[in-house]
Amino acid sequence: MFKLKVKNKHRSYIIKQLHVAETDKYEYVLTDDRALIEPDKINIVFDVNHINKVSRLLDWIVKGEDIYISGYNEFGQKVVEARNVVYFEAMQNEVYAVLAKTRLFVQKKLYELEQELNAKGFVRISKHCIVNISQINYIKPLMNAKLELLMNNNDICEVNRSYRKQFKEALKE
Amino acid sequence: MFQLDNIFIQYTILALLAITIFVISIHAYRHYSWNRLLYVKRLRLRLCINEGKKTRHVSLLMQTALAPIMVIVVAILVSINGIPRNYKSQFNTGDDIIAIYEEYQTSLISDITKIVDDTESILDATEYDYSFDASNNEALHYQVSTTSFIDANSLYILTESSISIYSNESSQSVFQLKQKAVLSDYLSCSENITPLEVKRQTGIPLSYYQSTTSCNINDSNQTSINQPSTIIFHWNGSENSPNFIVLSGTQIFAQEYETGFVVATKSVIPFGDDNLLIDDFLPFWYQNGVLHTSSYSDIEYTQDAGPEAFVTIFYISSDFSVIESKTFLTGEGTNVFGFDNQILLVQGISENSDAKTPEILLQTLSIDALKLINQRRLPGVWANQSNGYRYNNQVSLLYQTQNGEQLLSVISPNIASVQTTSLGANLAAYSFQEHYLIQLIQDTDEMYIWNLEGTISIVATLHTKEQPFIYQDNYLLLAEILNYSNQSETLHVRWTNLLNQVNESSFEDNWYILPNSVDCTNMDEKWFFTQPSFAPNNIVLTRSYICEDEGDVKANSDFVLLDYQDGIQVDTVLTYPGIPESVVGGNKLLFVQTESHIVIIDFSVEDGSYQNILINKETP
Repeated sequence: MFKLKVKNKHRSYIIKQLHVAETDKYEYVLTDDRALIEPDKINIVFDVNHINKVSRLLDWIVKGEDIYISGYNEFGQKVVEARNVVYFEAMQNEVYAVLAKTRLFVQKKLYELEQELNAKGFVRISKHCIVNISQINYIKPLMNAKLELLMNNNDICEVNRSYRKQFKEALKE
Repeated sequence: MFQLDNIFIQYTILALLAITIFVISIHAYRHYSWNRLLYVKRLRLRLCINEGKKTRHVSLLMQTALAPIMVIVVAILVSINGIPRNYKSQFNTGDDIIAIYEEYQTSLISDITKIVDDTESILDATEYDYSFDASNNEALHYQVSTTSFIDANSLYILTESSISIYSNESSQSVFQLKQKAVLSDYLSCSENITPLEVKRQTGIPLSYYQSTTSCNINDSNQTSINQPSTIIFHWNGSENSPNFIVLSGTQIFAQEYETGFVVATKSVIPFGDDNLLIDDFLPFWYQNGVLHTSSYSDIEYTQDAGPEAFVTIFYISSDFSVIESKTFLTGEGTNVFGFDNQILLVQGISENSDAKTPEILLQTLSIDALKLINQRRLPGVWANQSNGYRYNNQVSLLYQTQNGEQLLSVISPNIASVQTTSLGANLAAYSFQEHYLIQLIQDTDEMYIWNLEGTISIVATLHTKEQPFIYQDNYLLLAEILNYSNQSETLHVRWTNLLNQVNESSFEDNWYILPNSVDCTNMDEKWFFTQPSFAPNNIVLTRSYICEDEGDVKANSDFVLLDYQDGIQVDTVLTYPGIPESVVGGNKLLFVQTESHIVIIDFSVEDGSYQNILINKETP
């Protein structure tokens, strides 16, 4: 998403402060030198002294606006930020959003959530499960070509063989 | 544990190891690559990656991918565990490993060998003054690490690698090394052989049981023996080298027999071994450089016996010049007892077989032809060889009913008569002596003396706390210590001669004030009535005590010799260091081992006195 073009003596400091991960395909150029801007990209030219403000800008670019999910549990209706959802799972004809300590009944179909949250780091891993990549703690490959995902709430989700490629692409994006 | 001398197996194991390591490596790489992807993704998502999570990821990787590697590493380490660290870099071939292992084994037993060599060289010299007194503790530099026995004339020291016999038959009244043998001169075994017992019958002075399954006899043929065997050494008169025979199987029975003696051995056929070759278990004996083996036609089957064990009767002439054998195939639980001209087989028949309740099968065979003479079954549960006793050509068997009731059966030759009586269910201890059975009842102070001659009957009932009971020269002696004060103790002795008619009134009572231990305060005295611990005309009691000597806490023990020839009297007290671990007595010698010392008392001095020897095992 980002390409960093800064002086070598500041480079490691800037990377550390901005938490930026460079990719081969990128839309944004981050630079402290006007001469290095690329006309066909979105260029952010900054002074090292304003690095904290740049970091918040990047946060906004990456995470975008928060999306809220509405659901029900035994205490009534709740609205939570989508990034707090660990995963969604469909059980029979009902869809639940699983959070760290609770689960909400969501009145949406799984494919609707998949479309809605695709850009927010959610990925389909089976017919009945969508996981939040940011909530994955560890990926454990199994001998039968499946994957086990150890989530931050210690639940385990399984990536089916047919969704394995799609999951890998999502990680690479 | 085993040697990999098959090249195919070696390569197969290597290939399996390589495949396993390859698969594990692939698995570990997949773990790494997937989680590397996740890590980069999380960076892109600008999520905080803290060190704690990294550590956790490493531990997860260890658990899932590296755990199998650790198992392999541990397995490899275990497999080379028997080899010293210094040698690890010297492996080249399988032969190297075997050679190093053998060297390692040798180093392990070198200390024992050195001890034995030292012992022999020291005791070869006969001019030592062996006498000592309690205050001096003058000692020889001598260590004994193994089994020792005393018979009528000699002290036998049996180690895993040598036999030494010390006799006091000389007129000098000091111990002389009579004969000695180093086992490795005669045979080389893959494992050490275990000293088993000294037989006191004439002609069977030593018997070794060999627990290993592989030995080479050091003759010109390097005869190989692959079965558990009984090895018997016998010294004959003035000859310096022993007669040496090897009998297949574990010795279970030995008895004098007309012109020599009979020894019965048993070889159990391994159960469930699919690769069993019966030929490997055919009985054999080795004599005068020749290995004799049996064939199938030499083996007879006994009735009602499953083919589980070979019982072989060896007929050995008294000078060891002639050995013959007869063999029968029988059940594993068979025990052997003897009448004068018959062998009695006793075998437990479990309820799992044809019998509805547990039974004991008795069979008598002619001792020369091993032909079945008679058989009979008794209801009950048979235990083992130690529950039988032969005296005066009758065999007494002690066994249980299913309900735990103890039964006693006295069997006459040819099983012509079987007398059975109940001993109740509270048998605490028993001992066969002459034609008496001494029975202690559990939780009470009752002692019954059964007469086994004629009709079985109780001839005496004693209410006594005197324990244990000890026997010598037909005497039954009961002893207890009575504490009258902190300063003195009284020994209460009741005794009777079993050759006389025994009843309650045949016991004599005697009380003796015991001498105080010397040079000690704050004594905590304990008396041990070691049995058997006898000397001619003496019964030896042992007490041990701990006392403080200028801050040092020491353990000492006393012998109290009770002379019973002219009525029992306290004769002499000897003090020696330590607490006795074993006490054995013969007609002329008494032999005691403590942790640090050996004490030998020689009663053979003609004037009726004795000499004593204190040997320090710990002094270098």
